[in-house]
Amino acid sequence: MSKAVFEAIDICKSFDERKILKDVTFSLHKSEIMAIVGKSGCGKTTLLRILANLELPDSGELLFDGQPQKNPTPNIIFIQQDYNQLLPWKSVINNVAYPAIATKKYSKEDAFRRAKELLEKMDLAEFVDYYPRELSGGMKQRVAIARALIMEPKILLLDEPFGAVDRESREKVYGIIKKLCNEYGTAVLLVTHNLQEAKNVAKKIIYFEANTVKIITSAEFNKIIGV
Amino acid sequence: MKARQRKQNKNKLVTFLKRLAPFLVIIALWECASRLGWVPKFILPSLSTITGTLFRELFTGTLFFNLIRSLLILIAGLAIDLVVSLIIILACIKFQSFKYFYKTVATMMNSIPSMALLPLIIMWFGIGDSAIIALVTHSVVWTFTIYILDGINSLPKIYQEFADNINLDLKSRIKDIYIPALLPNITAGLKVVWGRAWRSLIGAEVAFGAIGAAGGLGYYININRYNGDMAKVFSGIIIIAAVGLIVDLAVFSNIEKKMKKWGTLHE
Repeated sequence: MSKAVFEAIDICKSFDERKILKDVTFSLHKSEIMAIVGKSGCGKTTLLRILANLELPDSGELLFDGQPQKNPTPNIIFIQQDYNQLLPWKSVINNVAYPAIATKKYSKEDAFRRAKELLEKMDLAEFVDYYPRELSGGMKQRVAIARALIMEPKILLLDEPFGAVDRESREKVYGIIKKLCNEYGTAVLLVTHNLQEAKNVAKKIIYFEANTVKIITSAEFNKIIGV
Repeated sequence: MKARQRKQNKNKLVTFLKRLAPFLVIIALWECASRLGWVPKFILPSLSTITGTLFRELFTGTLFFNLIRSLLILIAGLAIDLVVSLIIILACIKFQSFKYFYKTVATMMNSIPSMALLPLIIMWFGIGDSAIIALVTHSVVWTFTIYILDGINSLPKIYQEFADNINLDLKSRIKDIYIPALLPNITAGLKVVWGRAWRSLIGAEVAFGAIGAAGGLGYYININRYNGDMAKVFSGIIIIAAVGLIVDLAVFSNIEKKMKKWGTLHE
């Protein structure tokens, strides 16, 4: 197997004496999709926030391309659960193009061309001039994914992005994400409540159970969920 | 579809007429009171007289120059105040202990009406433009900075995290994230302080006019009261109100319309 692009080593986190994460260790490889499943409040989102460097662990280390990663980076993009993460004062296309323009990843012209392409892939071509408030929750999340993908991140962290989206749209977007992961080599870490979805999308699963975290294959996961 | 459109237009017209009705009643009563001698013309000139005086004074009299003078002082005062406010806000962001200290002082000072400070301001600054600017500053800085600091406290964390995640530089953060996100607070703050500043300025001009200083709309009203020309007094008052309305429509309404479109300001 190729060298891990990202490694989490012995990550621990407590809130008010309550241990949320205990020695979480795993690695992610190029184009790999991994799911995180577990009950509400078990620490799935906390883990993603730590991986995105938006929160500090109590102990442990994160390695990106073999180097310690201690600050947020556009190589690791975090898409939050909140439907209102888009900038409401920017139209859909401006939201998507903005990170690439502001960080000078692309020229303005290229960023808009790329944003348009991504929105077309997300089935949002006719909504480019809309404002986020005019979109449904699922559409907003698709825009957020397009906004993340324009940065061509090495790691994409998705925190239950499609909680209220219908199955058909969800599968379609996962198809797009898989395709883009292969195209750019992006690895994905996905938090989901939907066990079936976790099994279908990911080959490996981080399974939170009774304060312990196991890294299992989807075949092993089938046994746990009794399929 | 057309019938629905017609019904909507009819509803709009009815709403408009309902809003217009009180004004029409006031105008009619005013005109009757003046023309039929219910109130002496010296106290309440007819609206037609006031309108005539207003236009004559605006285009050929001193009203226009006094208006421009008041507006220039207001603009100068507001410009100084915005710079002062910005420095205070940056200091509060940088030094938490200063923020707590400043918020206590600002809350205390904010409750003192400008006119209560007038005797002190006259002692310190005399009765010139600098005294008026000092009064405007008192009306603006405390309130505006409180609005903005409260806005910064309630800035959604999710925007901040997005900016962190893509390593956005400070200039882009301020221009593209913080200012648009704070726009509801900035607009609400400006709307309040602009009105307060305008009232303080006119009040100071009236007061200073009474003790010898010349110039501005407040002075214009005061000097015409001395001369017993109530039509000019009313003309000055109408212009003061008109400036408020024009600023609201030209500046704040447009910004508010944009914010409603974005969903950052609710109907």
